[in-house]
Amino acid sequence: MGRYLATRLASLIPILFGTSVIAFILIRLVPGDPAIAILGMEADASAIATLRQKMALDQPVTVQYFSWLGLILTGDFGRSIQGGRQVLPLLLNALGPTAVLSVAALAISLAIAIPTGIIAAMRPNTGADYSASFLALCGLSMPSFWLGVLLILAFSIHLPLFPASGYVSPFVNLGGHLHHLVLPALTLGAALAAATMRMTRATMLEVLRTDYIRTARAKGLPQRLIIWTHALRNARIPIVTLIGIQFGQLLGGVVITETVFSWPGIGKLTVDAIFARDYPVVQGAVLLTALLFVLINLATDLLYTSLDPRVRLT
Amino acid sequence: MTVAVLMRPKGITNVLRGFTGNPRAAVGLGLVVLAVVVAIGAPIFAPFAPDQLDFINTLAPPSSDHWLGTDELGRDVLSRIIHGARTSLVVGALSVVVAALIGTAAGIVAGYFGKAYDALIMRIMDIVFAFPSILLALAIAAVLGPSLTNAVLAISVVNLPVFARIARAQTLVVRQLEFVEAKRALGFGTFNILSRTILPNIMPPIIVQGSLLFASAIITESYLSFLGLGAQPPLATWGNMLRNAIGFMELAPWLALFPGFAIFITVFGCNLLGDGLRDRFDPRH
Amino acid sequence: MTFSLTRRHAATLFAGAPLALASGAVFSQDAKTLTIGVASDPVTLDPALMASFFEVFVQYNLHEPLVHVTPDLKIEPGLASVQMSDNLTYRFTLKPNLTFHDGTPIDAAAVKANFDRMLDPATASPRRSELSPIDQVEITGPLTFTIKLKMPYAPLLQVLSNRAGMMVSPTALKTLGPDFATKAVGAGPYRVVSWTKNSELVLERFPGYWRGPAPIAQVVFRPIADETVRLTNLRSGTIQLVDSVPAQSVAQLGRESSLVLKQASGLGFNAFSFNTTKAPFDDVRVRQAFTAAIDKQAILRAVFFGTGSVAYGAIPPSMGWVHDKAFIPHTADANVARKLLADAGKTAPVPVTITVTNSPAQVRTAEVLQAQANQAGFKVEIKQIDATSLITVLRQKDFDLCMSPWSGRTDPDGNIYNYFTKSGPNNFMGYQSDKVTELLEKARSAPADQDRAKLYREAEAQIAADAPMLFLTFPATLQASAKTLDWMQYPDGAFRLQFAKQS
Repeated sequence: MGRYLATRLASLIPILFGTSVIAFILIRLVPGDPAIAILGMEADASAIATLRQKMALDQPVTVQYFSWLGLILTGDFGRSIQGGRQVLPLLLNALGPTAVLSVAALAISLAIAIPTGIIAAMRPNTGADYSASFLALCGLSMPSFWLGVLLILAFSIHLPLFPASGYVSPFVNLGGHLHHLVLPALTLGAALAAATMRMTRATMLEVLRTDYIRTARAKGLPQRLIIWTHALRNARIPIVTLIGIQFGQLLGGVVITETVFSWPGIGKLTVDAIFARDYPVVQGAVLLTALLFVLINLATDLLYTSLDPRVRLT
Repeated sequence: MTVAVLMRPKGITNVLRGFTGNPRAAVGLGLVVLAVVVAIGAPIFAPFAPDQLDFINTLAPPSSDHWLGTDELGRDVLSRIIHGARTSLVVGALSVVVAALIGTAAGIVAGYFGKAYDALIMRIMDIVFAFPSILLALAIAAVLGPSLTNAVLAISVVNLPVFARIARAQTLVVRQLEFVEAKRALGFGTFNILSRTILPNIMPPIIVQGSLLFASAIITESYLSFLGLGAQPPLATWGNMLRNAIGFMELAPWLALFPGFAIFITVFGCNLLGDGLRDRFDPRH
Repeated sequence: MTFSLTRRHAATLFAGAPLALASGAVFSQDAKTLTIGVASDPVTLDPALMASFFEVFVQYNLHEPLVHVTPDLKIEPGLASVQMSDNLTYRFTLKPNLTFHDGTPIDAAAVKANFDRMLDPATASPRRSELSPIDQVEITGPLTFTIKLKMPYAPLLQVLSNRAGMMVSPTALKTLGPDFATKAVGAGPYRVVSWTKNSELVLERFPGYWRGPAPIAQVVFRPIADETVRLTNLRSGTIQLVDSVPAQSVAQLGRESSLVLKQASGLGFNAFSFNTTKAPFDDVRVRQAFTAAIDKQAILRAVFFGTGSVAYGAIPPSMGWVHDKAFIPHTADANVARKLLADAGKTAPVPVTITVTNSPAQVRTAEVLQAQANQAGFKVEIKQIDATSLITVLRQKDFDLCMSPWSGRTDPDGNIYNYFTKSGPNNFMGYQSDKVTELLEKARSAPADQDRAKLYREAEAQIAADAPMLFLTFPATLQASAKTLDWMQYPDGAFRLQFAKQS
């Protein structure tokens, strides 16, 4: 186990290195000089040159990369070129809202998906099954930014029940925090629910066909008990795996939801930084996101093993 | 379908057989064909030119003249949606085809030759995969500048790893099979084996994945347009129509409703089709 | 203090809850906190480094300039009063016993340190170019100093009423280092409590402000990118003041009794630069043809929904002492355009590219320009870029016709000199007119307003004839508030909340 973990962790290094190189190069290829953009219309040529020098933009890209990498290894992510904030606290501050949003979306999706998936599997090829599958497919086919716009139209503009955007820290005001969370979490949760429901249904169908369940039925155990204890326990592995994968994908999904709802998370931060050519923030954010992504994948694998003793890590 | 062109004749009949006895796939195919027909015949079906300005009739709600209303420059929304179908379908199809061609080739090479090829190709794919896809597409589109072609490229790159992984996994299975061994023993060239034996045998899951990614490519294109990184105006795309509609959510909600619904129904069709194909080819489902 | 802050916060935030909505008035009665919805977070709070439009809303609340402008753009004393000995020498006297937010005294030495910093090339301050006519800043006493100019520079006081005249604490600059940009210690009516990026900037009133403590105790700036959402929040009572009201909502807002819409003629202009250094716009007739092809009224209606006014030059109606209402050098006429093209020897449709940033309003403008120009013998293609590359594209002259909007300054010089003099930093057009350069230099140094006005009008006439820039409209400053807020609107759109009261 320890050795497995070490190997897996070691294999992350080339991936993180690769993503950081790509992010570093890509953002520099986006046209538009950050020094010119920051100084605006009024700056003269000497100010632009000074700023480029300050930001080390006059150095060759390789020099820039390795000096950045060297600082990263000491935990120094540099400063944002937009306003001079330290990048690391900026990233960590944005991580909180993203985590809250992701967990809320996941919770909403599970609350919808697991019961509907089970009901659909219990009554396959009935009206209930078809309508559940239909709804799931609708959820999958809905572009999330459009869903976000529809929710704002319906519940912020027509019926002003929820705020259309913004963020309130849970430490300042928990009620306000949750109130702002509803629409973005629903938007993000909808597509997740669709995928999870389909997975739950398929897995439950498979489990319900096993001899083990048939035996349980033959012994006359009540249906509810069979479903909620026996069957679900066997179905949880693929479902947990799916949730792990979804958590990884959520990191991408939040980008859109956060932009639509002005949610101050890591996704909005990254998009804004790309548009502002804020190189250190883009580099730091991509590195952090990639790290989270691979760690979540790893955690999913580990969880998978602990749930199913038959799977051995080698 | 464009993807089907890649197939050998036997493959095509296989695909077609998938629709008999599968009403969901048939409905999906129907919706996709409808979208394709609308896109091809756009100038015939559209009641107005998509870029015809009319400053008298701006922000008009749906009426008998303008079935889906007009936008802030008085352009007919229905006509713009019909023309927008072209952009969405072309970008969706091309980006999937490009990603499928390159990704599959890379996956076959990795799976068949193994060792260093495998390690190198798959590590690159892992790296691409570790980026949140929407950010990568956004960054590439930003580097290349907003245009239709660049949107296609950006979306292709993002989808490469999916095809590469599937092709590699399938190739690993197929290369062990007896008839591949036999062909090798008979002295067939490597290229011959790859293209005539491996490729046809790994096509079904690639096609299934292609139809599902076609759906997500349409959404990604609309999102890029939504951020202003898609096609150039005055070309109508569903994404840039939505982007524009945001400022008129209160005054003219139909501007946001209809283009979004067009994306939704097309993607819905692709997903149905993809599901149907998967039921046919993937015994696990 | 922390506790009461939290409670006030809670009150504002709960105003968004469904329960509170029904009785939103209960919460707007909290007269202690004012929450403002703005389009975007500021980039920096350091006035020496500010370069974006998004700092305008915040700047006068945190920082106090040496002199002030009134809503009709007249100069009045700020931190200092001023006397001109001659047109090269300005003597300033600071008000006594004033301090910055951190208690550092505001004296002549602090002022000189500020100017030295802005003028130091190592600071890379965008202020350096507008302060370049300064020869030296001389300390003449504890509270008195003299600014000596290299050449007469009539706009000096207007420049010092803006970012270049905003004084910050030299002690804080030293202790905060690069963090100064987020914590900004100035001398304005409010000081920074906290700033969470993309979320909120919280300010509290500064008891030592020279006009006396501001009536409203706390101010929160909240970035809300979407204009519709900003208005929704204003209606629900979560915020009480918004900037950048979308033009399309003006008519509707005017009918809402719980809100107040204020509009004023702005300081800036919406315009497109012709690239006069390459074909086809190197030919003045082609530029005139394009100008004649465009119906500005149509643009004003379709893109700006009738707000603001059409523009024929760089100086807006808000600068009443220079702006000439009767100045209409050309009218829209496709036939005139076609004839000018024929005169220039262009027969086939002339292909040109219009470059705009990808914001919906800009794209809309480009689409209308395209439709109109295409009818007058051009073949227009639209190229979208993102906002950050705009200045790079302009500076590299990588365009045929490119948007170059200007937010405007309180002095006409700030709208025209940098754009139309031969070596002006914003002369993206490559416009080389000796006559205009000479007129603008003279206008800069002429002491009397009447003489300056005459020179500017003459320059505008020449610019209109040479058509290096396609002027479209003068935008209006559109802002709205809850009826319970008593506040003053300025043409520059900046909020000066020391004058605001909540009832």
